Amino acid sequence: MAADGQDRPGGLDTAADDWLIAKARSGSIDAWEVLVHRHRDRIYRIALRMVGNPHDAEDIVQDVVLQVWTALAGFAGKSRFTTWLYRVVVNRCINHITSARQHHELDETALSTAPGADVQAVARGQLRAAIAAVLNLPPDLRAAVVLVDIEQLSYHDAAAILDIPESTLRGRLHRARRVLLEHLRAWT
Amino acid sequence: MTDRDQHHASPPERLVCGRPIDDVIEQVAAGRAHVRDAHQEGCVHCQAALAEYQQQWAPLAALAAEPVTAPPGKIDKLLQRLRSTLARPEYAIIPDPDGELRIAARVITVTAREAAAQVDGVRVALTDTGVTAGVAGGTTAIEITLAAGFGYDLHELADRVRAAVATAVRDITGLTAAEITVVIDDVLE
Repeated sequence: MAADGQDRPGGLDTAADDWLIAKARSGSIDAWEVLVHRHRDRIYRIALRMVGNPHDAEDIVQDVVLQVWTALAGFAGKSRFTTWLYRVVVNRCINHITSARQHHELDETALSTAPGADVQAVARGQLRAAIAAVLNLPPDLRAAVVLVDIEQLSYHDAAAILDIPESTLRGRLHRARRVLLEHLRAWT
Repeated sequence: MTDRDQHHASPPERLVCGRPIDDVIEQVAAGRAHVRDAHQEGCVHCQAALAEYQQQWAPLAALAAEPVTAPPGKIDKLLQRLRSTLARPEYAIIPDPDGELRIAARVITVTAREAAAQVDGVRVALTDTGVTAGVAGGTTAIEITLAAGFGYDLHELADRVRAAVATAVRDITGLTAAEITVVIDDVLE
């Protein structure tokens, strides 16, 4: 995309999203497809870190994409599109975690997709430890960590996505980080 | 809000120097362990805690830095399926000595859209393509609707979009874009 759109924090361009949503709601398939392309990597990453399994993550993204198409008319525009979209993703992941019996064994394919990264045994072990630690968290704490500490969203944005006060988010993060450090202490 | 949120409001534990441990961990998690305030510059307790937590947090920092992109596959198939269900298929037809080459309007749409989106000053581009095919070769008429960045000369921007789209469509599909209509639908700040 052109330079002025790329310079926005986190690569997000809210004004462009709003414009695309208006087009998509008036029936433009093209607009909906561009919206999906703009956000698919991030919603996949959130799903992958939440459920820990690339196959389940891909299924969740597929469901979310379809849900966005059918529910776009119901998007009131009171919050940012990304807030609404990521909330749909997180809720779908939490439903998946709580309904399907979570198998905690680590899926190797959840590790790096970067070429060559998996040849580094130490790096692989480090990622395995981090993924196992995150998957060990209960869903509400996991969502907070995935959004803030992994996806690097602001406290304000993450709290809006989770629909909780920032103070509650901070509390969850404090607890989650203590648990994570305890889990990772054994690895280091 | 869960029950845990309400019942875990215990007072924060502190380092010997009085600095809340959760604040130090938060500093590490935010990747700011090396950004020490005046107290931390002179406090061995804070320095030791920062070093220890930074080491323990390293796997999570690596996980956050790991590049992950959505794999092609299910999502693309879903997009394709929905588009084919909702859109009427159109083809440009290019005669060939061994038969004919049919290029779906969809291919031209994506080509034109991606080319326009790369032009400096274009924030978002969409295309609704009408394709007509001449007997001696494919000819296409393309309409591009876009949102421009604020402050650009829109006439000059439209010229650059037309040039970029015509080149991309010709190079990728072999079709001649006889008419490229640029609709600047909005200007975004």
